[in-house]
Amino acid sequence: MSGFVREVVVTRLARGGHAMTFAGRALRDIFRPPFELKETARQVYELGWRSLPLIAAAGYAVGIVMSMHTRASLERFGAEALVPAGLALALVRETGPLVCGLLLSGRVGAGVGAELGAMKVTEQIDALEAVAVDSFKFLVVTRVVACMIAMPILTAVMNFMGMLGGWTAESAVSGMGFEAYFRAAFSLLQFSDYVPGTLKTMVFGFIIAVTASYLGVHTSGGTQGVGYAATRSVVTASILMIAANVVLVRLIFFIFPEMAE
Amino acid sequence: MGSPRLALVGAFVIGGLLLFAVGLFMIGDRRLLFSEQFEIEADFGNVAGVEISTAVRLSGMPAGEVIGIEIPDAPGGRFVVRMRVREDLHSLVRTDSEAAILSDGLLGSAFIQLRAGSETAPLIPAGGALRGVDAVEIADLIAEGRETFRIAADQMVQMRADLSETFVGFEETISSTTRLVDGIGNDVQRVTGASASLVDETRGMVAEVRRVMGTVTSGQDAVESVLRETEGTMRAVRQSAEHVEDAIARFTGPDSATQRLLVEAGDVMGRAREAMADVADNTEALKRNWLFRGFFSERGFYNLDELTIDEYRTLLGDDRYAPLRIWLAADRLFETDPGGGLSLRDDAGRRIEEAMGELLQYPRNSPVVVEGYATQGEIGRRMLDALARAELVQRYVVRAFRHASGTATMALGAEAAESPSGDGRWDGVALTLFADPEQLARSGAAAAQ
Amino acid sequence: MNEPGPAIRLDHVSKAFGTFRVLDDVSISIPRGRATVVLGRSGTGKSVTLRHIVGLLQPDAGRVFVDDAEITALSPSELAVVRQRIGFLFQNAALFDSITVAENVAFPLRRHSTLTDGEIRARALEKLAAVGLARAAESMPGALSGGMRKRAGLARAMALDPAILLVDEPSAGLDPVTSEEIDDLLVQLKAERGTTLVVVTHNIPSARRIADTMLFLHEGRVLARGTAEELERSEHELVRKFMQSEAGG
Repeated sequence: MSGFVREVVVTRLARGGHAMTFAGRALRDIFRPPFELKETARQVYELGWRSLPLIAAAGYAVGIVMSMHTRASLERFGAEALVPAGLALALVRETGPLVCGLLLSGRVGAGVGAELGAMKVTEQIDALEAVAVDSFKFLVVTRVVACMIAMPILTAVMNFMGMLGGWTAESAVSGMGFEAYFRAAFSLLQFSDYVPGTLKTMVFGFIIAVTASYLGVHTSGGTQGVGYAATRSVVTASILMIAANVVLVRLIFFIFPEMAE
Repeated sequence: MGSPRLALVGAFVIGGLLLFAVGLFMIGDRRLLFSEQFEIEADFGNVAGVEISTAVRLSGMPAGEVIGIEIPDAPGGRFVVRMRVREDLHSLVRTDSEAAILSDGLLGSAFIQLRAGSETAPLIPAGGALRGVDAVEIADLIAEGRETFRIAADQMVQMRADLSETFVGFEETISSTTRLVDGIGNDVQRVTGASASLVDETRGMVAEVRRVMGTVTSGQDAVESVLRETEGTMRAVRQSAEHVEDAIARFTGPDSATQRLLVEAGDVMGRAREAMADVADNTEALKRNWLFRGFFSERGFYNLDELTIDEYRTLLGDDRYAPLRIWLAADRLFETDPGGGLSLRDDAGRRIEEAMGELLQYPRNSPVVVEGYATQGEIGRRMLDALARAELVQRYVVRAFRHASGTATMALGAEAAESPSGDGRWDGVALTLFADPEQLARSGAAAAQ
Repeated sequence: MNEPGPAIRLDHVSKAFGTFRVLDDVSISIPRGRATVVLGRSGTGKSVTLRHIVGLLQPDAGRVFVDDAEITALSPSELAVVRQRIGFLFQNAALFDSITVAENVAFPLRRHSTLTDGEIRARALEKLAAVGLARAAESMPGALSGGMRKRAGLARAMALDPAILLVDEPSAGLDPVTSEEIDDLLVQLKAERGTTLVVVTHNIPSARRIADTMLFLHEGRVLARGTAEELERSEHELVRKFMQSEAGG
């Protein structure tokens, strides 16, 4: 192994270890006082509430499109009656959490990465420390917690809007009633689909916020560095989230074997 | 962080939790976690498609879910499926209720159907066991369901017999009604009090026919029960038809006030006729349904074209259909005109009518197959001749006896194991009637060759 | 407050970034109630020295004392207490972008005082008035000019009435007139409150206006210390040359 390669490998490993330490610290500090409740609430507003229109619109569109696709496939088998249940199952188990996670990593990842990056290069983070505020708790932990709160909620919204979109598409074709549609949609759902599927998005939220914060806090190189941090946040958070999803799905199947039929 | 914003955060979090909770509730509600329930169990030899949380329905109504499946100790044992059922349906579940594993259409998931018990049987206690009726799987039907097929075959024959009778009864009824109405002219007959209820009754009957045929064509139930139900309904139809006839016979005296009722009665009869046409159509559709196609072509009652000669011969040897055969020699039936065309001799009709006369003492809905035989020429020639002969005779039979629906032709070549010629060959035709042995026994006719 | 001994003491402090030695065995004493200006060319460790004083950076070797508390050995919560006694005016003011100017000033008070909302607000406005920014209280930091930002930063740094004020490049990015106004504010502060000032700059006119004592850092070491006059007569040519450059850098 040449010296150069060794150096690259060691640097990479060190950076990875550094990031893991960062994530570990975020996880640990969630449970350590003082809790920055007010700032957390502000972040829930910024990251959660203000993502609502995006998530709702996307969910509605996804619902319509998925409904039309599943309908086209199921029609061939004369199983149109399964369209609502199939859509709900797909949404609740995977599509809702994942699409919601990707959208949030786009919106929040870029936002947090850029915001913290800008705070870093304009010394605002140092300024926080200088006024005796734990900048990690104040900036990182609040965003992590806010993301972990917002993700399941936004996922629930996305699932609901998706079904609403599905109903719109379905009622246009078959004139199915609202209540009948939702009853049909929930006819195949189990708690083991619904609860882990929604709660696993807390892990997504953690990954998104930690990744974006890490890259933001460690921004260097002025304004250009900020843009770079934002872009990398989105890409890295999305990839990590998808990878984590694979592990989570395995884990959920392990905990709820009846799901992996 | 102003307070309006804080309120929005609160709304966001609480709204999200509510939305999540609504989802939980929808699932819980479906699984009846919020209503009182009792547990019962049923045993099955095969639990394909059943798992924990599989739906349980009582006469189609959502009633609960499966909560456990116990595995038998040894091969050949039966699986015990434990179910949770809504307490408010308890009064319908009796000790003689049955459980069956059905599925929602071809692609649908499996569910357990409970049949409500009889009124006289006691309520099933909580934790009690029902009899499990094993599912009729399509795979089983195709691969190994011979027994089921046999039962279905018998019932089909029976049903068909009933249907034919009903058709005839109905046609007579309708024509007599029409005659009656026509005959009245402006002189409106008085409708007896019974005729009002007759109208209702006939209406109900028509609805029932439609419902049953709907069930048959949508294939929602097991073959067996469809057939049983159809049979029952057709019996009811038949009785009602007699009722109609009686009632119409009791029309007396002119009364302009009752003209409307009379017209209505005619109307109902028209609709009844339509319904019967539906029955015929649906039965036809049923016959063509892929599930039954194999069965019918195997039995050869309706579509002998698809039946091989060997299969047909096997059918002839089957005691359950007690074939009755009348042999007619070719030289006494046919003549060949100078052009080479085959036609019936002048006196052939009489011979055919004689032969049919013998067969007609049996139920007229029994299928009659005209078998054609020919001994001249090579095999291809013989088959063509045999077919031509059979068809000529069948056409005559249809014309003379209006026996179209119950006849078919079968070209059998030269071999005829049981022919009166004694050499195992026959040149001519044979009229073969397949009948129900029980009916044969009732009519007291000895099996005659 | 008036106990003897320096307000701040760096004891054989070394700091390197990678292979680049920024501070090399530096020992400094900052006298209480005086204004000390740290001079030097860009990249000679002036800002790094300031950051060591508030514990934003940890030395590789050596110790840092503030009021005899060893910064380098404190737990995070003890450090937080010491930090409340130190104000820090950053080079570009480092105002928090997401809140108003008044909220920026109120921020340290909200975190570290037991005052009511109303008292905090009054105090913030008072601090802003002291730097002549009362009218800009409700502006967002992004809307302010460089000089106004710096004044707001000063108001925030003084919000908790710290005994020590650290100032990083007060005249950076400002026109001479504005720069002079800031310097005057600093001098006034020292005079009125006896605040210990540590000012990092490479602007000589500004340094002359503020300084009681000067330190000249070069290549990680203290090259010279003393009054402006003493530095002008320094044995080092670099120091003498630097002191003559009126325009600064």
